[in-house]
Amino acid sequence: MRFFLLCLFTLILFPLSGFGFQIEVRSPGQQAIPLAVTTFVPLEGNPPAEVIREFHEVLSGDLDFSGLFRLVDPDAFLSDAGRVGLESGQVDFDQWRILGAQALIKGGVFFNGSQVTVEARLYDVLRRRLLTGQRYSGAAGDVRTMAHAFADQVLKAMTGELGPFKAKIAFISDKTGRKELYLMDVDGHAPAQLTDHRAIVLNPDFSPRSKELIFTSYKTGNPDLYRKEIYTGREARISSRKGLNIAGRYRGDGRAVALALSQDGNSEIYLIGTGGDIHKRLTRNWGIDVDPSWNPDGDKIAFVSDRLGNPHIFVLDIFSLEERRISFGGKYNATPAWSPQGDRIAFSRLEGRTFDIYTVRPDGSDERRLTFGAGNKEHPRWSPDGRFLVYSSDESGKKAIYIMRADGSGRQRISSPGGNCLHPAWSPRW
Amino acid sequence: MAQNKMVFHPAAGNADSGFGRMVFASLVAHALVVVLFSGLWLPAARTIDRPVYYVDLVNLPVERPQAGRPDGAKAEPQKSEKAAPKEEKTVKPAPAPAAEKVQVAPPKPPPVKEKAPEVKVPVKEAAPEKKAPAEKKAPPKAKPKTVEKDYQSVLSAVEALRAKKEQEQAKSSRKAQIEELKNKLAAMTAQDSRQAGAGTGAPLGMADGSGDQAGPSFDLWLYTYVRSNWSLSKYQLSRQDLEAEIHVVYDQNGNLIRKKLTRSSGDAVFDRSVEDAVLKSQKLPKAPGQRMEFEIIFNLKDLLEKN
Repeated sequence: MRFFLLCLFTLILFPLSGFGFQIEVRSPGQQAIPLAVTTFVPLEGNPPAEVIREFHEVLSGDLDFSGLFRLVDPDAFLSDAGRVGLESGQVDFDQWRILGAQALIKGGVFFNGSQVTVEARLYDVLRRRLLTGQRYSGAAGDVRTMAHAFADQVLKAMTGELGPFKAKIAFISDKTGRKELYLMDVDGHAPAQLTDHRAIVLNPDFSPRSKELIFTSYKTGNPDLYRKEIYTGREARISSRKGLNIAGRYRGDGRAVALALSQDGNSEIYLIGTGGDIHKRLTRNWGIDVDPSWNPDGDKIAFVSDRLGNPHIFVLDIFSLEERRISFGGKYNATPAWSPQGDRIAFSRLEGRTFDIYTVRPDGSDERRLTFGAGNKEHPRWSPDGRFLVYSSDESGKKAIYIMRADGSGRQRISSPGGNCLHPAWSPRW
Repeated sequence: MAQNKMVFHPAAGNADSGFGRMVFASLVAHALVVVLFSGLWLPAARTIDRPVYYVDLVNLPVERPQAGRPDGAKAEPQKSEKAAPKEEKTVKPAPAPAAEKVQVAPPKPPPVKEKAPEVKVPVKEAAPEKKAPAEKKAPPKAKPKTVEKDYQSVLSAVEALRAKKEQEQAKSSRKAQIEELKNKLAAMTAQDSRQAGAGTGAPLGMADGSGDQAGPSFDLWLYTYVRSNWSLSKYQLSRQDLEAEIHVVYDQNGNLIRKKLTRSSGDAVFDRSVEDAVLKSQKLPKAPGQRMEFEIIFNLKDLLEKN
């Protein structure tokens, strides 16, 4: 009986003694990480101030655009911002904590003749430890690439996924009077002309395995498919069948290409090898089938077909050849682009008088409109990490290249004025 | 046989009572099990529910919160006491030179005529001295005419003053009544803590507060404090159906003495962010006065609802 009573009291008193209460926090109070980005300090030699400033501007620009961070105002920085020591033990984390920073970027620059070496560090202020550290060496002109590369590393440290800033964006521009292929940095810097076909060049796509592109060119009068090695400049025509050879898209493994051919009189989707040999005909329909885009697994493609009247987006299993329509609204749906994660398909839709960018799940559910306002927004393509989209828009008159986050926020123009810029494509990590 | 019965009777009686006790103990034990597993005694019962977003962390928590809103203004009496001197303080420095000017002017028309301060004396500032004597001259002329008339006019003036005073008294009592009604209204609006924004006039307190102190309760304040220290960007996440739980222990001075991730979300970035939130809250600005041990569940339900 005594034992029983003892147990009874213990059970009654147990909840009153130890546990307190339970709190459920249903959303973060701050939806951006407070990050302090210091201007790197000269470590050796006498690095030009503009090199240091350029690195800082590019890095800050990338990180700000990522949407992950709230950059701490540099005017508030205390003495540690100018200190040289980059070891965790040499950083005064308390100063940064006072400023509310949760992450901190510090670094230094060596300058030796024309060679620049940048030491860059990302710290966890709360845990007082180094998250990532990188050393980059190169010519002074490479400092922008170094900054993009470090921005990618910062995103990796904070999310587990490398950023896409050290990639390139290919696009078509008519600023010479002809539509030619160009390449530029993700922030629009250093555009370089790749082709001189003096004809119409369209629809570039990057190889996922090597530094090369495929595109369609009317160089010989017919819209043929070409492959071009970016660094050597070597070029080959890989599909020159009668009629259209357009909208080529590499499969994820880089060993096959889906494209639209009209050799039989009607535009259909085909699977060809990188040498141009046909592997398989994927669509067989009286309607026009164009603009294929691979899913990451390489077993499905999204494409556009007007078989039901207006052009709509369909998804096709390349093995079973089963097709399913996934867009149902708008007068004209075009240029689908399957996200690298496989979870969404971006496309442009004519609704009213303008095209806008939308995304939808591959099963046709959860359609979301990403762009609004004046101008046609077309040809969306994903960044290799699926965080961002690049597209063309004529909202400021001529067509220009824009980038935005995958939810439609943070839109910014990256191509410089002069000519129309269209058909962008974001390269894999460079 | 009868003997046998007599012999066995007490024994039978003992057996009966023992059996009864066992039945009673069994019933109590079963009832206890039912009560314990019904959830009535479980610690999870006291969960901070949702409409608690507007606690101003400047207002530190109190032990016995009064009725009001967690985001409300300070209690009325304090307000009126503090507001008045504040206004004086802030107003004084700036208009100081202006005040001096005002003081310079009045001496000329000496404020002797305070009896009729509202009789537009200031308006006739230009020639107050000349007119004043004229007015003074007038009464002596009137005196000889009728003293009664004069007396009557004084009486009526006194009456007017009395009436005015009564009116003012009525006004002030009405004001007091209005203030009282305002307070009641504030207390009522406090019941609906979903109405956003301070400045509704509600006193600082809790919707269910019954104490006498202006401030939020400790657990509500703690919820807001931890949430304000939780930084996580949606761009860091691949999914939003994440939830993690941390067990935390604070000493009586508000220092974090133990934290343990008791349930992981499965996402390293999310888990790190919630641990960061607790690390940032490792020293509470207000000492709880006793050791506290509780669970914090972090999830993104509100973000999901927004999407």
